[in-house]
Amino acid sequence: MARVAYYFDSSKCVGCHGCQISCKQWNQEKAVKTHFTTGYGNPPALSPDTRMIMRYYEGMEKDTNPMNLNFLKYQCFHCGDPACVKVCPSGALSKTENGIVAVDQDKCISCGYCHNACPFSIPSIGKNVNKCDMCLSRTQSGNDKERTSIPACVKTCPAGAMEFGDRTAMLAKAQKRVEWLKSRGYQDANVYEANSLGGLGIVPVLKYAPQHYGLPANPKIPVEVTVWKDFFNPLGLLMMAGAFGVTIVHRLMQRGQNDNHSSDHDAGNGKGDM
Amino acid sequence: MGTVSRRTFLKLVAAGTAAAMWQGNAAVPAMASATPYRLKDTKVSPSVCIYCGVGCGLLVYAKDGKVINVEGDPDNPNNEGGLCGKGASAYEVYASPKRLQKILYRAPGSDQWEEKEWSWAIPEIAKRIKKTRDANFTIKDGEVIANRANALGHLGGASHDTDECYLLSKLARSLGIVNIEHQARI
Repeated sequence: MARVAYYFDSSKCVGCHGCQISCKQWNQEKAVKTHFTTGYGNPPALSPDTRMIMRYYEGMEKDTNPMNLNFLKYQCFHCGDPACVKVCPSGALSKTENGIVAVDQDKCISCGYCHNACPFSIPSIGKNVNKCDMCLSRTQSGNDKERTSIPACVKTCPAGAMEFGDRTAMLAKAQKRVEWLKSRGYQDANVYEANSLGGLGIVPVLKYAPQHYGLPANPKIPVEVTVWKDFFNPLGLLMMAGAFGVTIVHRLMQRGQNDNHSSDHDAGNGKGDM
Repeated sequence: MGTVSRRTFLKLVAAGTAAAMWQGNAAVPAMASATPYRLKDTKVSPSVCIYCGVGCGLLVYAKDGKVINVEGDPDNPNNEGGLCGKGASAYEVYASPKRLQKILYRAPGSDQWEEKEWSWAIPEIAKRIKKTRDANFTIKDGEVIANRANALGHLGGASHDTDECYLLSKLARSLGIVNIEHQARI
């Protein structure tokens, strides 16, 4: 099954918070009291009650355009090679056939391993883990007529900054948009990390370099996760299998010896070979 | 042999441990969504957003007589399924604990709100409209018959759909109101 992805165009976004609120509404998350912070984003960070936030950035063109304001829709990036799924010990996080990193909150044991393993530290741990699941129930059971088959945030976007669909198509669209932006003078326009972490399931078109949006330039799965899960765990498994195999071989050989040397003795005592 | 031999025991332990480890490491198969689809067996009704003058279309989903979800109406040419931050929170208008459930009345000059009943409010509004209209009605403007209620104005809201707007403006005109305004003009 082909991978699906969100396309998010930061140059079309108007920062209206529609996606953030429809996300809360659809996922029935409670509103939390927050304090005023710099910038227009509120709540200031992802939390166990907030899966998705709008982030606001100023000052990219300080000299020419002091009022320049930029937006980033920030939530789980749905990596193609998700570290959180790799480390999750309880099976609460999993990857679906079409590349969505899904959550089953009932299975979560709130260990926080996913939060630490995630290159963006996105899964929030409260009573259970909370993170974007691309409205899995909608994409699986919704209908096209009411457009309930796409995630709530994508449906609600009034600026046309978002689209949901086949990842290859979204990437092509993003590349086209980046070229257009470049032709309009945004030299740093880019598609954020299309190939990192197994290919992100979110395809954000950024008008400026990723660091202006508070995004790491080259996100990586932490080394300890890779070493432990990709090397030591299979190695342990292999050693276990090896030990098992050797035990059998050893026992077989021993039995052969026992049969040869002391079969009469054993038979006489009426005992087994052990 | 009735008892488990040492060999069988070791075999079982090794196999069991390996199986347990394997299960923990196996790629988790694709699963159905853990959260059930919320809109199953719901009744859908189209409506209009209560906020600004754009008048975006809403789809209101109800289950067992209760609204459970509100989102944009893709069939509406105004918004084609989209909603802004305020519109996306339209469900809260229905569900918010801060929603007004009773009529609150503040008498002229008072600084206190009083709770009132509909049976009091509607006749009271009618009474006051009649009073103001009678006191300020212009039958003739010079030589011309005007039949104008100068002291009354009428303000519509964006949540009214076309039919309601038609009826309300008809009511206003029949009262002689000429100052008919609508929030959708802003």
